[in-house]
Amino acid sequence: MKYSLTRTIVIAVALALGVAACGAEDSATTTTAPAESTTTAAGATTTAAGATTTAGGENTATGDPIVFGMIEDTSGGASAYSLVQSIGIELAIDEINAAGGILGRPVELIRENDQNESSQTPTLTRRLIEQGAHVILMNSGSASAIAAKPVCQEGIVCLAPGNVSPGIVTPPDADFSYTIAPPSTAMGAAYAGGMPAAGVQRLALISDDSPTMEGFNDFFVPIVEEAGIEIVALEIVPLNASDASAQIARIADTDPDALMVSSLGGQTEILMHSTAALQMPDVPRYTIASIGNQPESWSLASPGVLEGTVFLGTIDSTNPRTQQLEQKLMDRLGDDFVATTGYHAQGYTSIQILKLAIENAGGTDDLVAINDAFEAITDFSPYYGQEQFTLSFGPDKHAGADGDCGIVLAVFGADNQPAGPWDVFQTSC
Amino acid sequence: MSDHLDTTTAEAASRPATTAGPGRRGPVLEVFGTLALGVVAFLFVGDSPFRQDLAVLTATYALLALGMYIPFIMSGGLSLAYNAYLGAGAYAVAIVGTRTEMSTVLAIPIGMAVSATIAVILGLATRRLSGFYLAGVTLLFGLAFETFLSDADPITGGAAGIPGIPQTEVFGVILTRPTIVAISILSVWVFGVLLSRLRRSPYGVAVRAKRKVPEAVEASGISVPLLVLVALGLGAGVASIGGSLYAMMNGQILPETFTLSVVFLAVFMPLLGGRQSPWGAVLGAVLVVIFTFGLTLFRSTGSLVFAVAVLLVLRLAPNGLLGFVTALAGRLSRRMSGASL
Amino acid sequence: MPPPQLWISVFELGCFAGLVGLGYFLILRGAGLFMFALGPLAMFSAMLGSWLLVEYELPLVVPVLAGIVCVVLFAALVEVLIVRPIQERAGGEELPAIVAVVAVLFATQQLAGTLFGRRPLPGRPWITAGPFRLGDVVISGQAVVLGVVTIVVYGAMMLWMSRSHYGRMLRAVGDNQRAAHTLGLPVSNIRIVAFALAGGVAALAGSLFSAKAGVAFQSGLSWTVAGFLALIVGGLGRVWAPLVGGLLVATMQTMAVFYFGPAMLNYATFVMAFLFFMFRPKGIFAPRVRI
Repeated sequence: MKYSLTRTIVIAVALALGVAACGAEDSATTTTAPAESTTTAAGATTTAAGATTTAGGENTATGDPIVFGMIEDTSGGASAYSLVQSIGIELAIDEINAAGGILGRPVELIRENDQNESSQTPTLTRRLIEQGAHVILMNSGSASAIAAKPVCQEGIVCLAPGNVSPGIVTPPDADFSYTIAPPSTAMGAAYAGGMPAAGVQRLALISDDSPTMEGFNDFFVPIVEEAGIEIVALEIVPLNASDASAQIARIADTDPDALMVSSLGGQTEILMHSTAALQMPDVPRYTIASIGNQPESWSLASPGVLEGTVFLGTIDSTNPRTQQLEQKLMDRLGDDFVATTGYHAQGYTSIQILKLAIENAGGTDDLVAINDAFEAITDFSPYYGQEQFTLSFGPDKHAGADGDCGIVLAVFGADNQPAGPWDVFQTSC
Repeated sequence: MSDHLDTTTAEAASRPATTAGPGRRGPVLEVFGTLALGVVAFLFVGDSPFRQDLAVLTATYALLALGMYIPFIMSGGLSLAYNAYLGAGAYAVAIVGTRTEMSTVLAIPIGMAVSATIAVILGLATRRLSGFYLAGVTLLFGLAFETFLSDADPITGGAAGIPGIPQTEVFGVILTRPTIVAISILSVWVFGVLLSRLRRSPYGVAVRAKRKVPEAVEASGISVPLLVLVALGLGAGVASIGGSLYAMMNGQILPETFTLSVVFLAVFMPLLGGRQSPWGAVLGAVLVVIFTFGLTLFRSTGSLVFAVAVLLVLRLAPNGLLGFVTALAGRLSRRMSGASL
Repeated sequence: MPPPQLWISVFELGCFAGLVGLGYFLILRGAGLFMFALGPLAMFSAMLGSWLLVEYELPLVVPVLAGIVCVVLFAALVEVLIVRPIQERAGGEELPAIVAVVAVLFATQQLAGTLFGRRPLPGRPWITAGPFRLGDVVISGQAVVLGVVTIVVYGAMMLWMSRSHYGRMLRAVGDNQRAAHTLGLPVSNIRIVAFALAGGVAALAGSLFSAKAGVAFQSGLSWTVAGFLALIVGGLGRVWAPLVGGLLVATMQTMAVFYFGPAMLNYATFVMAFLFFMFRPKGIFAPRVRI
């Protein structure tokens, strides 16, 4: 009696697992944000149900698909930006397919979710390669992009649309890795210019303990110090901590002119802002690029907490290409559209650059040739940054940003939403 | 030690095997059968870099599970600091590889020594308390270790970990990826066989008896606390080897690999595979890797499936898959030989 | 001298750890085991409540109650379906129960992560009053609520254990389950009551505390540790001992972070537990009757 029950249950569970295994045994996953994205299944050339093609378009591309492999994070610490970048990426791919693909071949997206656990990224990247990827999009955390470098070095282009860590493009193993977002140095320059302009001389820094932020802080601090600003405190709040009072109390003790919040964003950053707003309401706050680009984080803060906080945005609404992208996003997302963020634009731009590189290389037969073609791209106009901002690459230049004008300093309003450009300072190219 | 095992082999061979199977041939079949499986696994992995990664990961998990198996199954203690033992082995390789001139092979015994010491100290602190205290103090140590890895930059490289571990060199020969795969599979096999023999040796019997009748064990002159400490130390050492192999294969390590979620897998794997034999732990490891990497369905649910499976196994199939299969085989063979139930 | 503001943090964390510790106390008395899964249960209540709030925009009282009720039921189910059968089958051995509890801990975490997502969710204060300024010190409205609820819950529990039928039986069962059974006490019911009450207390604590900084699916781990240590330090002998223990643990943790940085929190917590296990495992207010 007891054994029969056991046996039945175990067999039933095993069968269920087997069915699930057969059904899910491809790397195209179901883990995408609902209503906003499309999935393309490995092995198929048509896209899944949903808004797949732009208005009136037909999929006219034929031939062997060009496979874009993507490492993403749909559920972990980097999902705040990964999911948004995916929207831009999918928009671009659908547009390209509707217009005939690349070199007449359709583009297919295959994905693996590394949950921002960079120790899994190399294995998952190898899996994408094994499933036929011709290029890799690193749409997760900076640490993931760095961890994957040795795999990319074996001969496949890896482009990180949203990461800024210089570690991605510095040796060793950096010959095939690229970034296009305004780098930490540009962020440093923005504040090295902006903070003195606002009269800040004593700066306190509060950060989370993620590897990405640790790397960023290592670069950011010397740049700001060189501009004559004294760092009077550096406090760490662990990701998902319940309390930041001790850290804020220590910072308040040092009497800074301003507080810089350096975080991946999300709840942890909101905690830092909320605690600071409570305990040091008169100290102006500056933050980096994350929270300004995370609409879903804005509502996590109590009203007014973010007011006056200056952040490093990358969206300038006077840039005509940004305006074009905004229109396409509004068409695609309809009621779900909240704002155009740097992440949308970086995702979208990354596909356009990869398309150009593949076209210039003449196809996907030689993956190293795609790399050579990528390195030869100069003066590419992206869909974010100030109007005159361009991207260029070279054998020694794998961080595409030309100059610092990819950064647009902006300010939060009383409703915890971006209110517009900062009127004190803007970078120049 | 080896003399001891040799004499017991003859005795063990003449006693009916404790796992199902033909009495006299059991141990020999086990040894060669599992070796054959290991060879098949190696051939299956072949050239594919992805499968090579998975194979070493499986071996790492298997050694972790085997390390958990010793104290957990045999002497009844649940230690939860296994992320620390795994991490000690991995970071030993990384530190030795990137900061000294020594071959990373030498890091393996260093990692083992560190892990065993930690395990013994934690065991000493709670030796007179109920098993819950051991679980509690090891859980806290595991948490502290997680923090240590991210925090102690000068030693551990902080949150960014330690990249660029050079390839392992033994007597001038560089170990290639396929070689490390082979060594990993071999290590799992060796420890599986050793633990299986140990389990059937007088020491093993004493350790298992301690769970049920500690007074009897004490009365026969074996010190129970000492037994527990030895089991804890051994378990930590074996897990540490798994960590070392992982670091050698990947060439870089990060703190987020060594969090408490790894501990949960370490508890789960022997349970799922089966407690009657160390091979259950290995089977559990194989299943965990297949489920996490091979089936994308499980990627977004994380280890929820495992967590639920643990509870199901605990309640319904306490001897895990191997136990279930052997029970089934036993019933089938009884049916076939005409015995009525 | 640490800034006065920190003592408010100590108070909040101490009340929280004290409540979770009370849950540990109840289950230890009722079933003779340390329910390591209480932290994740508190987390689950907070996450369920927060998720309902974000998804459906209901008035606050509904998600909070839903979270508490759900976890109370969950705790009772865990006792009936998992802990009791495993303890019965194991006879005198502890190990299966320990494994089961640890498994429930991780299972609850993963269930929350799957259902509510792996990113943190915000908490919501129960009252809009505050923050109150007292000289240099800022006290949020939620801190006041947490303090009041802690005192009320502890008071109620002490009354219940000394006056009510089931409360007194709970004390008896904890001392010796077999004897209680022999005497004809309804041990199974008492156990369920203990688990349900513990779940309720933990759920309440989780909902209240999450207003401070939100809650993520992994928050339960440090919460469970805090509650466990609150009980161990305070002592296994008195109902109100976990509150004392909680405040002591909170003081140690907050000051450690203030003086030495955030990493010291986990180091110091480990050392505190280690020392207590080695030298005073029954806590400051040790029981006079053997458990």
